[in-house]
Amino acid sequence: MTSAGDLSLQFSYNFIIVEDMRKREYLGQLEVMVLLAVMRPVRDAYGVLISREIAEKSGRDVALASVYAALERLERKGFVTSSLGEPTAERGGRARTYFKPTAAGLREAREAHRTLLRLSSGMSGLKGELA
Amino acid sequence: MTARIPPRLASWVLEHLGMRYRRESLAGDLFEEYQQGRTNVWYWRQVIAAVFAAPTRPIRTHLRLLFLKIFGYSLADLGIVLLCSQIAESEHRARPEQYLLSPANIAVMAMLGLIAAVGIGIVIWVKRQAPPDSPN
Repeated sequence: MTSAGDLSLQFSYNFIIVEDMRKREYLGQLEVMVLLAVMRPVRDAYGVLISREIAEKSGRDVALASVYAALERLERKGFVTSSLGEPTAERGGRARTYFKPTAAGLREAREAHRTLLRLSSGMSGLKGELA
Repeated sequence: MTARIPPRLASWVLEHLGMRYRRESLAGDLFEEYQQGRTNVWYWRQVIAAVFAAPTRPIRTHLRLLFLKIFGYSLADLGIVLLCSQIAESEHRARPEQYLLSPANIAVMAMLGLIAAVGIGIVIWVKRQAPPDSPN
């Protein structure tokens, strides 16, 4: 039997979770992939490099515009910063925009990675797929 | 080596209807990839994705602003043309200065000037509608 106290505690706990979800900006799958790709290159990351990185590692060909849309959301959330480079002839006189993860972005990527590991731990189905 | 020119219409669509966020850099990225041997179909697919993946400016906002821009230009054009024809009209009169300075003519010219100014104002307003977080 659950007591009124337990129910009240459960209600408060659920309320805290909902409040936490409201405060926190959860990342979508593409945003996580883009954030990880921004963290990866040794050189400064820009659209083409990020898109190639995702295609190479995930096997999915993502449109450059989708990458930029995800970068815009990440920048708005404060997870990446951007800076404009110099225009070059090989790009038709247009400049590259370079992206870097912020401290908050690195924290978020770590957290997303940890959550996925925790959620997938002990799943025999996943192990079978990987084997 | 001469650069390959991507489809002009696609580039125009990207420039006018594509996402605002870092649009110049996106166009540069597409150009760079196109130089690596990507096809016209690939380029068009990327441009269409840029039109529909515009979170800061949905397509209906694009169309509304495009309509407003055309309306503004038309209004400014109409006001200026009518104003010029009103001034030209005075040359056919016996006393042009008197006609030009008559209260009725001044009122008409002021109204036409106001129409042209409203049109120019709309065009300037539309041009200033770039979101603050999208420098190019």
